[in-house]
Amino acid sequence: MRRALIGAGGAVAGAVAVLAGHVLAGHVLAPGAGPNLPSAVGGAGPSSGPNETDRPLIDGTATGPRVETDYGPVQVRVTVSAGAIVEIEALILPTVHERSRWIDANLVPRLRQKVLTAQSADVDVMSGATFTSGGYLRSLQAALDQLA
Amino acid sequence: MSGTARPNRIVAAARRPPRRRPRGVDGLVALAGVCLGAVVAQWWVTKPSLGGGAATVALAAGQLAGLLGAYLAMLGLLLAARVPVLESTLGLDRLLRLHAKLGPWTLCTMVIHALTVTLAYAALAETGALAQFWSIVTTYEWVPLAAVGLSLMLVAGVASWWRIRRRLRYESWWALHLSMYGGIALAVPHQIANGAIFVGYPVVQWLWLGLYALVLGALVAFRFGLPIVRTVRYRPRVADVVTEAPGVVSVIIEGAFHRLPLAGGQFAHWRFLARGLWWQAHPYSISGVLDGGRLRVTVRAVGDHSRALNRLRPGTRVLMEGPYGAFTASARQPGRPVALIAAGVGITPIRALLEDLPPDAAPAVLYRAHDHDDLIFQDELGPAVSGRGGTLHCLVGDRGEQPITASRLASLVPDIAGRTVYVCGPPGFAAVVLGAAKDLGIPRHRIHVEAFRLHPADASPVRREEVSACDGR
Ligand SMILES: Cc1cc2nc3c(=O)[nH]c(=O)nc-3n(C[C@H](O)[C@H](O)[C@H](O)COP(=O)(O)OP(=O)(O)OC[C@H]3O[C@@H](n4cnc5c(N)ncnc54)[C@H](O)[C@@H]3O)c2cc1C
Repeated sequence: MRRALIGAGGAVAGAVAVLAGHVLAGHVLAPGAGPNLPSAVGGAGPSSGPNETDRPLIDGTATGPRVETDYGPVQVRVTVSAGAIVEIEALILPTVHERSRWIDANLVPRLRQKVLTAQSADVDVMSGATFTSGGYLRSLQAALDQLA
Repeated sequence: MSGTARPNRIVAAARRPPRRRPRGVDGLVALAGVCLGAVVAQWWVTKPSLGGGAATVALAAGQLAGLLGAYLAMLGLLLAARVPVLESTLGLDRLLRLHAKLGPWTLCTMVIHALTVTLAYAALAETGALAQFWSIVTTYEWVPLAAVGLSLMLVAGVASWWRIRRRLRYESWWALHLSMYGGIALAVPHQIANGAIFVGYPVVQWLWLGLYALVLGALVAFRFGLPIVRTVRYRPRVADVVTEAPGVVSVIIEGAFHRLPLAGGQFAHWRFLARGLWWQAHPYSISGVLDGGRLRVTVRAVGDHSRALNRLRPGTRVLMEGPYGAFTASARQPGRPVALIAAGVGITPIRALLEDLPPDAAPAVLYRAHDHDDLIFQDELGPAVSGRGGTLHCLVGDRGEQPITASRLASLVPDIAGRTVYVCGPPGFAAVVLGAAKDLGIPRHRIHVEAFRLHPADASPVRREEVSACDGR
């Protein structure tokens, strides 16, 4: 009984430590607001609407938060040069599922192309890959917010 | 064999009794709690959103089940790792009982993990469950290995189910049980490579691997390293074999035992390096320390191993794993008198434990044996008990003639309700004594049992008829 209490106390301490670690690292603590919500809620910087992306961007590189989707986490890094989005790298993609792999290989390059063309994260999510592309765009939006 | 003459004199039991360390156990329990809390919190942060319908809830639950399964597996391994702090405080039999209880839960969580993740992905990807299963096994990194691992674990688990285990030779069960280690090892990489709590979190990946390394380290150090070191240091050898009673022999083992941490009542796993015996290690209690620091084990012939011991030759090398067990004098509360109750060869640990009691302990010893020839250590028990102001009752006869009931106990030992009780004998006997003690109002924590079996499904070999009679009630 006393040992059960000790174990339970330890469990609470462990959970608090992990959550505190995430907060300190600026991670999103409430994952998956839903892939089709356009606005990104990044731990970094105040949240902003998609239309704010027409503000001029500062040059540099920014890493978006890790966004949890139902197929796994997504995280991107964006590079801005001369005020334009010049590169988007997918740092983490849900590679764990056959369909996800197919999405990673086929849809993510197309998504990247779309964003580079539109110069904004405000593009339609790709049908058939709503989870991954939703997460991709949310991570991207939060990265862009850091450079706004 | 040297016949029944006894040139050997008991000198002491505990030279360096292993310490009980309840604080150490508390610390390990707290650590286990911290790990559990951390795993669940990390899962909570990284799980898929629960708002996405039944499939995503199932997916999240399946991921949690996988993590908990792995956590329980590590816990189970640690319980069986002979960690000295746990062992000397709780006793190997209790740890292994907990280990055996945890086993089915561990396997169930792992099977639930595999099933729910498959079904959830099937629903998300709108495919059939079998097709999805195949696609997961063939495309997820390391998952084929994990599937093999789970199958191995299931085989080992089924072998431990008491209905099956009862029918297996101890050695066959042991070999099957070993595949558990392989199964667990095969399942590790797929967690690190695919688990949502790990992907993108190298720190978590390293911490998780660190936990596995810790468990593996404990197993290697305490199950292999320590016994090897002790065997090399003590160089045990058979010194003599003495007949105690028909079918009961004492094996006397010499070695440099003066630094051996040992308390009366403990046992060790003994492996005698003689033809036909070297491949099996059996647990036997140390029934005393003789002059020259020699150890004595006393064994009733019940099966192939115990029957073969009377053919051991002096000089035979011995490997020992142990001593283990918390059935020792330090389990009693200071100042409270003890009652020691034994049946048959169950007297062996009690014989050694008596030596650890202080001169004013006034122990009450009840010793039941089927007939007078079966009473062993008679010439030693009398002086050891009376020298401590205690009383010895030898009850000769079987269960019918010498039933152990609450009223019988109370008439033999009037103040028994206030004593700490030690029981050693077959499980059936132990159960009867436990029942009587309960009727007398003795709290369970004041009763210490050594039932000569390490797995709940083992029939104790001490008196087969007693066990079956009790089981068939
Ligand atoms: C903690 C402990 C202390 C013991 N102390 C003594 C003692 O002091 N004197 C004594 O006579 N007996 C003692 N025993 C019982 C002894 O271990 C068995 O009688 C012996 O192992 C039987 O082996 P066998 O090959 O002769 O018989 P088998 O017919 O092969 O086995 C009979 C039963 O013994 C058990 N058993 C067999 N091998 C092992 C093993 N390697 N490890 C664990 N259990 C096994 C199984 O339940 C099996 O069903 C003790 C047992 C335990 C667990």
